[in-house]
Amino acid sequence: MPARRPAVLAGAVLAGAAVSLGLGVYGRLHDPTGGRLFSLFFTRTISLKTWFATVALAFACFQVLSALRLYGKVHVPRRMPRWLGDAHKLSGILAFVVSLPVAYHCLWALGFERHADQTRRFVHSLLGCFFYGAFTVKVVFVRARGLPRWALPVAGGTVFATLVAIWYTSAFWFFRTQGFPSF
Amino acid sequence: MPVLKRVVRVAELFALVCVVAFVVLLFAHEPTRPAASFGPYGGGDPGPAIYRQLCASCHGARGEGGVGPRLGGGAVVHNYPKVADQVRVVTEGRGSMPAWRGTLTPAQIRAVVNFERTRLG
Repeated sequence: MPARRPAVLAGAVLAGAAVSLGLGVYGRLHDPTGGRLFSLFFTRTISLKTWFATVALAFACFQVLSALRLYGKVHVPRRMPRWLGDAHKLSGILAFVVSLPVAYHCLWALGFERHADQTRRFVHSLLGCFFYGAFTVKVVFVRARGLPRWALPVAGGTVFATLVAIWYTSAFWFFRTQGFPSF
Repeated sequence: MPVLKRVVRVAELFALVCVVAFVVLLFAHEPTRPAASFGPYGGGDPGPAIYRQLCASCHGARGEGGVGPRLGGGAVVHNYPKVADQVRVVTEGRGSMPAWRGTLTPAQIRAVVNFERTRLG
């Protein structure tokens, strides 16, 4: 099994790179529509995006905390609940699903910000594409067997850190400039 | 906790369906070209309607800003003292601002620019 490790690692990273690159190329080549999506019970699509991104971040925070408990890095609660592993998985899936409409509107309506002088939007575009690549890598690592012990925490940490940065350059910016709470 | 395991399974399947829908919609969901719906200028000033339909999602219903910069309260006149500069940006796009040439006629672009400069905010 150890002989497969480099291949699995490389394959996962290549798959992630392909996802990130694909999204970036789409965002760059697709003519932004500037259109609106559904807004559910929010007043505007951007409010929906802001809150969906915030909910995704909340799920991701739970992911990190539950992972720390599952791996025995923290001991709160002292006795690990039997449902924690499933709740950990579920929170990750929900964070991902909630992020999709946000990413869809970003790519479809706004595209990839190609001008580096628009720093916030440029960084946000890069991070957004990187996030789904990192997420792909993490999913492969979760399913793969016999990987180094550092692989999954590094992938998970990268996904979480990227999501925080994405939220900071979008939802946090929105709350700061448009007001909080803004529905 | 078999119930939660089942919920996770369902959620995984749902996520997979969402990913497929995400990719398909990216390529399949092109907006309807709205130019015709604004009419050929005969029915009064189309500026407000164009703004509501095409610009408000990014710049805010009252031009207060959002994804796109603030336009209301004189901000757009301050940033673009010359009308021609604003018309150029609306026509050709800039950064994540889409180019509206092809979607709006030059007259419609002038109408929405005029609305933003005079009546917004």
